[in-house]
Amino acid sequence: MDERPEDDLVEDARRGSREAFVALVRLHERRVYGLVFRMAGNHSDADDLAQEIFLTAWRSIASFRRGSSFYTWLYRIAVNTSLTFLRKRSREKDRAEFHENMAGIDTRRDASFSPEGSSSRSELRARMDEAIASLPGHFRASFVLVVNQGLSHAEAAGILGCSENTVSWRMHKARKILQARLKPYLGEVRS
Amino acid sequence: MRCETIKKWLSDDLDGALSPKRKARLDAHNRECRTCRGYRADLTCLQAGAPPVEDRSPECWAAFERRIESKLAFAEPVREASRARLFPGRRWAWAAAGFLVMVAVGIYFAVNRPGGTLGTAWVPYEDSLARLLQEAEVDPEVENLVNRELLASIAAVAPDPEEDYAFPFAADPLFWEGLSEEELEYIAVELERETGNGGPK
Amino acid sequence: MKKCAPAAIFVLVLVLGTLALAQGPLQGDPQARMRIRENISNLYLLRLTRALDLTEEQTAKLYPLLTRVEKEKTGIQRRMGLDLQELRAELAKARAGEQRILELVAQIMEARSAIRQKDDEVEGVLDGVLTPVQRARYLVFTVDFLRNIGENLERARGLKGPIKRTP
Repeated sequence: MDERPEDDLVEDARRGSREAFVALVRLHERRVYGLVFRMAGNHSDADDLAQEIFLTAWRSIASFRRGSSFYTWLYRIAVNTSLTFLRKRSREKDRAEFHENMAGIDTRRDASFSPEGSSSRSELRARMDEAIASLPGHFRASFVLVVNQGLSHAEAAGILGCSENTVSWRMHKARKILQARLKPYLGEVRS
Repeated sequence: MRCETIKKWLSDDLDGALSPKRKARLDAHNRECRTCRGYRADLTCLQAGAPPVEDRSPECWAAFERRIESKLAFAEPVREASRARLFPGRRWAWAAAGFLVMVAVGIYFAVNRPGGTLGTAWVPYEDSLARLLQEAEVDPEVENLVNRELLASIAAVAPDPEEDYAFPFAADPLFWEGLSEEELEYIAVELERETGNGGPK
Repeated sequence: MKKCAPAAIFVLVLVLGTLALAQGPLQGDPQARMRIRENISNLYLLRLTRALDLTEEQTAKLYPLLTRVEKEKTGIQRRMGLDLQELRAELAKARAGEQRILELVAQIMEARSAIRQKDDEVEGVLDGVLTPVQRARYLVFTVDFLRNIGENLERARGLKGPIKRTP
């Protein structure tokens, strides 16, 4: 394990050292993976996305400005890559649903599942995954950065390239949507 | 204090982004309002229920790192120096030429500005409001969400006739945004002149 | 309800969009606007203290509060102006992003509400410091000052002729 300070690793990676870059990957892989998993909603896509993000970072490491935060820069790449992936997936899903509708296949979710009958907390957690995955891209990114990654509004704003106020509003909207969608399960947990 | 504002403050409070003054007002409101207390309880549940991503096994991470290492060999970073070498010794000429092109394009569009762009906002395309409306027309849930949000926004924009009836329009913060710099300057100068003369009190 | 949604969106975008689009290149430099607004705030405060005929004790209590609140309001107003500029730019795009538009509308409305809350905050303090006659003078002063603004604006427009706005 490379024990050098991160700034030194970044500088060496900028000069072309693959070993230094791999050390940076080891430092940040879990957090980046956690972020993209929440964005993509499954491990397979998250794995591909995380690879793509680190490769993009490697290719553009020369554009990283000394003195700024490597982690913020890397996260920005992660969020942009994830959002592009979601937009592409949404278009492909629309096309697939269109073709399925034409073929007479019912693409609606199974609505027969009810919140009763299973552990309330574990049911809520399972449904939260789905609900977070259904949030619009920018809301999802803000929610994942703030709630899952534990960033402040200011830190999330720096990564997303928007104002703190915008992050604050997106968090509010994301929570409203989640609360509306998960209401039956929240009631069970509280009782 | 409107419950809608309180709900936003509740969200900020969960993220540690609420000022102490607003927190005091939030707590005071929640003591009286059962709906907001319920909403806070729901958000607290959501916060606790947001599951962390399970950590993968060390073997998984090792495999992940190996895959990246193997791909790094074929992906060379773009060097900053190589970009500068593109136009050696002629950077200033290219920068000046680019600037002139931008000025020419800017003048062209300033002179030929199309009148009114509201109309183009309604052409259906992937990310437009029109598409949101189309979805709202077939999905009652989306329709309700969209309607609630927009009607709440309009209610905030439109003046409450009873509240604002006695007050001049200049009391509205939006009024000032409708004034040009020239108009603002004129108002300031006139106010200063009147004030200097002992002005209207 | 289905007929309401397009109408609701149309009215909302028309109100803010007209406000945003009509300004165009007349908005000028945001820093310059802020300086002028600060100037107007200072004149307001000066006239207010004259109109209320405050005692020294009242001045000592109120002047710092009034100055601070006016400064905070100017700051919020400036942010609102920047958001409105961005809303204008977003509406002028061939492909305006509806999420961004809704976010900006929400931010602008929050700023508007925040400025009004500042005024409520001031009035709450004034209630405890001013005499009944001074409270009445405050109300009359506020109405007259705002009407004065309107009259100055009309004069400005009368002198310069109608200002050409983007349709």
